[in-house]
Amino acid sequence: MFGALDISVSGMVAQRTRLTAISANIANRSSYEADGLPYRARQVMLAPGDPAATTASGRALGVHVSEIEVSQAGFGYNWSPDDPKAIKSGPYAGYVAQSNVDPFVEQMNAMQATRAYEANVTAAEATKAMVTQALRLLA
Amino acid sequence: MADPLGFISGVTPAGFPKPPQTGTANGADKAEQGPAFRDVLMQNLEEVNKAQQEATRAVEDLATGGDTDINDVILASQKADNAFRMLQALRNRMMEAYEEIKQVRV
Amino acid sequence: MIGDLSNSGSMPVLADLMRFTARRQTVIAHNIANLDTPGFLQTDASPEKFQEALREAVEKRRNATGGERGELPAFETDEVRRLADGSIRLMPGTPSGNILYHDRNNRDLERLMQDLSENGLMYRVSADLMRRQTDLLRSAIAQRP
Repeated sequence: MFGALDISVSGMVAQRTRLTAISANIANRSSYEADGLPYRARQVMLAPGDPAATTASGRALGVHVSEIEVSQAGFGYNWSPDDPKAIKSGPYAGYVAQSNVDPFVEQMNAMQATRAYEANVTAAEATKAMVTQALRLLA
Repeated sequence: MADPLGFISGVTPAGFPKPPQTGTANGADKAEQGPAFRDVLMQNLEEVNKAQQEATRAVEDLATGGDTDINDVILASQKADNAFRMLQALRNRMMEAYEEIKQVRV
Repeated sequence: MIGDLSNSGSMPVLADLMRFTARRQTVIAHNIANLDTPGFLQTDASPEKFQEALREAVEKRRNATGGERGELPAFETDEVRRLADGSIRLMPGTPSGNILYHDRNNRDLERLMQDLSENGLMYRVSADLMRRQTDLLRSAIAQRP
């Protein structure tokens, strides 16, 4: 039954990583990366299993972050030819590129991640209650 | 009269209440009380056993998804527990009584 | 004699139920951890099917020994395998009837939460009933109520 605790904790860790990425996205909506392009949203990819577990059966259960993908969605463009960051040439000349972070999507994702985090906490509490019950058998 | 209550002669004079029975009349009763008590004891043992079996059956029914409710199980378990504790107390008292009698110096 | 002590009355049935609920807790926790994983299908080991198979095993034991004595025989369903020594292996199947979401995950959060509390409750009931049995045995052995 302690395996169940490991699983719930892996769920909590994965959801918190997701929430961190969402916070980073919202915070960096107006920033620019080193190559001059605007900030691309980071998306967390979840996958079942937990490679950090010690046993083979433990590695099959739980959830982990398989990678943090950089979103390749297109940028938004604003017409602003006097801005120093405006594009000089090409079809988008005179436009300023905006980050591809969609605040509404990020907000919904944040709500979903919070809800999943709370569900995992509830599961961990239930497992703890069961273990306490079992221990009372001895007393 | 030398024997107002009739203890010696065994005959109670008129107007006096009857003394408690001693002697042959009671001896016959006592000879019957021995096996009767044992029967009562065995019958109680049977009942305790039956109560325990009913409690076990109720628990098994609950555990295998039958019609039994949790309150039925609780009631049956309490009944069996009480019966068992009663039997245990009876047994302890009898053992104490036996120990006491054993120590009587004849 | 010592073996019969731990197989007396309803103790084997309760022990089986405790083991099953403990294993199922792992399955439910796995489902909850993967609420948002794309492509993940929820799995579950149905307690009703397990209780059916347990009931048949209890019947078999009753017919074999004529009462509440002896071990429970091993049994197997398509989701559970109970070995003769009492250990339980779960092979959870995918329940049907859940909505498949856009990320190909068929989560059902309310059902999961209900399963979680139900499982905990079943574990608690069987643990408490088991404790009553062991208390009875201990008081009988110690000759003190």
